[in-house]
Amino acid sequence: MIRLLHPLLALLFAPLLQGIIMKTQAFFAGRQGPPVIQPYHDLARLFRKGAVFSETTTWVFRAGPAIGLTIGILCLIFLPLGNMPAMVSFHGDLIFLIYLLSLHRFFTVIAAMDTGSAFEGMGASREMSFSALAEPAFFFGLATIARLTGTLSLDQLIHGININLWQTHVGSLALVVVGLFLVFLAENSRIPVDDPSTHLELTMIHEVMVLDHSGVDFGFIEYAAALKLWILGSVIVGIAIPVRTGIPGIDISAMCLGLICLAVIIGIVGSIMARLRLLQVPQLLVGACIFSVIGFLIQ
Amino acid sequence: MFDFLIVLVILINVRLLATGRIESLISWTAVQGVILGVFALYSRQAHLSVDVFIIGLGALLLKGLVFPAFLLHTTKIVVTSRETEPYVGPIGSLLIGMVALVVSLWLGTRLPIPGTDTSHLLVPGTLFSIFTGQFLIISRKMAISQAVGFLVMENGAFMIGVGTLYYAPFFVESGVLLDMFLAVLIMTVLITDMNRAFHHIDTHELSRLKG
Repeated sequence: MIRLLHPLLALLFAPLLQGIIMKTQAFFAGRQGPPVIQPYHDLARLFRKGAVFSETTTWVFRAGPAIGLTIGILCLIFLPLGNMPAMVSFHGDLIFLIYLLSLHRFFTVIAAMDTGSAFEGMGASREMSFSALAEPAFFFGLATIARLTGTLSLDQLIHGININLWQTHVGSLALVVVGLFLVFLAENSRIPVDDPSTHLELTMIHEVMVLDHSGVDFGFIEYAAALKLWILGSVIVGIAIPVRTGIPGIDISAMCLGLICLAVIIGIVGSIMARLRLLQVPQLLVGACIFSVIGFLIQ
Repeated sequence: MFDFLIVLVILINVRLLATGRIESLISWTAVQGVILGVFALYSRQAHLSVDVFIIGLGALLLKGLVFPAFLLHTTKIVVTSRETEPYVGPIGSLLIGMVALVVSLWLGTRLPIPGTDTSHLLVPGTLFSIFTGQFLIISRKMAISQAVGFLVMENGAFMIGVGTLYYAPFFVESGVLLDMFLAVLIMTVLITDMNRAFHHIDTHELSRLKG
């Protein structure tokens, strides 16, 4: 039963993280802002609407959002949250999870290109270019933890991180957390890499690819984005917060609190920083790679 | 704590390789100098005496404040703020730096320091600093960037010195710091004179003597 808990928590509360981010940004801007449950209202509104499809699109465009959401849910099956075990775990599921996330990106990109719009093609091109830099950073970050804990199973890997490991390998783990955090910002289209609140600017990356989606399909995309935020966030929180007491209440509370803190940090970063120029984004991602690689090398 | 300070030095070296702005180069070298001053005091805390304390504090002040202040002052005089066309760009420098770090870590395993209980990152950190300094001297065209490269290289030598020797004669250590002080002073004077004579400090254009 406890193995079902994490996917259920994620499915229920993933949009709440987006709400916390918006609320934090509103607080820093001196506004009251929308309520934290606003993303739920937005999703409900989108799910009530009908979708409009361009005549130039094919089944690829229609399938993209549904496949993206399915992959997001599939990822939750392999994902532990601190001491809370994953539903399914096997040797090498770490690599499988990374490939699932890549598959999610692939279908988003191919659905964008299916519209035939040059604007969406541009976004797709940017997404793939930046992911080519973000993925090695993510790989090296998880490889560092795998080397420290001696396992390639995500469940045992996150479970194996404790205070003793942090005390003996503080340098490596801190570098990996910083590297993964930068990847997290890029993968979730957050400032300073991208701004999810913009829709008509030439510098945007992710939002440009989903401009033609509407109604239920756009709802799927938004919900999948919320799940992706939770998925990558739970990996970072699982590494950064070594609370492994064995008491489910304390462990789950610590992880949930960690996710809320992560959302607040994203909100703060989005409030105090400007978006980077597009040409500087690769430098940031190379920086993330370097953090992860140094973390891997110095242990 | 040792590992933490050495990792910071390594990260600053990476930052130096990635930046083309001369003010940024000098500022990060200053931060590295402060870290090395703390490193010097921390590594000898068990044998802390007045002269050891003076050397540590002197290194911190010179490397963290005085040298950067000289170089920043020179930057303002020569009105240069950016390395416009280095021989190797930032991404290329970072990739070469990563290869150098791997080589340094490998050499660190081949060159253990006998009889000491220092961090296993000390030798790699030192070698990487020396490499970074040399690379900055080779790959940058502006004379100030090359002076920064010299300082970074010396920082590496300083790190292994204070990391392995619990005590060195006061006159030797103060002599080394005085040498550094004079070297930086001479370099800043030379750069200023170079700018006055040629109206630039690009060493790439100094391949022929001017009549």
